[in-house]
Amino acid sequence: MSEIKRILVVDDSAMVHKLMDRYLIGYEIVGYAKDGKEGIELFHKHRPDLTFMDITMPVVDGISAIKGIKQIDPDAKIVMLSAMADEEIVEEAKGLGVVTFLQKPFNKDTLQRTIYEVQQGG
Amino acid sequence: MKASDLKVYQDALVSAIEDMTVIYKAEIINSGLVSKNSFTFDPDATAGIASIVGFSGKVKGRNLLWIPSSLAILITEQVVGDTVSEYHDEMVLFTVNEINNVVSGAAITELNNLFQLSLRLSPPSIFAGGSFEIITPKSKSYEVEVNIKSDYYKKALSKGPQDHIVMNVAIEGSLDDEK
Repeated sequence: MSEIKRILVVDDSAMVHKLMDRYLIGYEIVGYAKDGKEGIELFHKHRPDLTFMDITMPVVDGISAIKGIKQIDPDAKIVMLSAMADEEIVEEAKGLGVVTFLQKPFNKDTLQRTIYEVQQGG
Repeated sequence: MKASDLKVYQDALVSAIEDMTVIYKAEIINSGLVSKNSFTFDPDATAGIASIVGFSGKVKGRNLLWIPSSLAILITEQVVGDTVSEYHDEMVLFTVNEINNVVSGAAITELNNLFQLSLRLSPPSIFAGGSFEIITPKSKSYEVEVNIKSDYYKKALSKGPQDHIVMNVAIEGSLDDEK
């Protein structure tokens, strides 16, 4: 089991950043990226234990950002965080090596449970 | 796909409001989906916030979510847990955008799974103020309106436009209209 301590949040919504601040007590949030390009840069800089990645973002979207992060670290743990969860996009994300999907809206319980499941998965 | 299939937006709007705020209930009014030629904001009503998200795939269009200013403030305070002083506050604008993102995401997920439309959302745009009309050329729009109720905020929410949220969906071309 690998412990999750340091988390990166890649989402263009300030509301999501605010919720993460409230819900992720006890974790170190290494950064908030507003788009996929910034997400790749922050991942490279901080090498978090876990990255939450939105799909629909300006500049570089989530799918492209996942590819960029996986080039830096093929074992990077990424949780897709999205309002969209259709079969096609879930399959595409799984193919890129995403650990799991968390569909919006999320609450503190589902967020904490997701982190626990990622930890248990190793 | 038929116009009646856009009922997914009704369900998504109700779920999003109730899941994100917890204390509010959303009640569909005006018998569900109403066919419109454009989105018109009542000039006699108060100011509001409109968030627009485009979508494209096998069909193209846009989703517009409109929330009156006072209700947008109340919802934001409930969702993020902070006090907000005015509807132009960045957090209010982001919250309205995120609600539209959640509603649109849930609705097109359902449409994609049902009809394999491969729809994808664009990043949202936001408009704040009063008295405007949004026209989407070559498109027919369908509107659902919900009334927001809360026992907790019974005094703050009064009857009328102040507590109504509108979702207006425009699709390029036309669908089979059903009553």
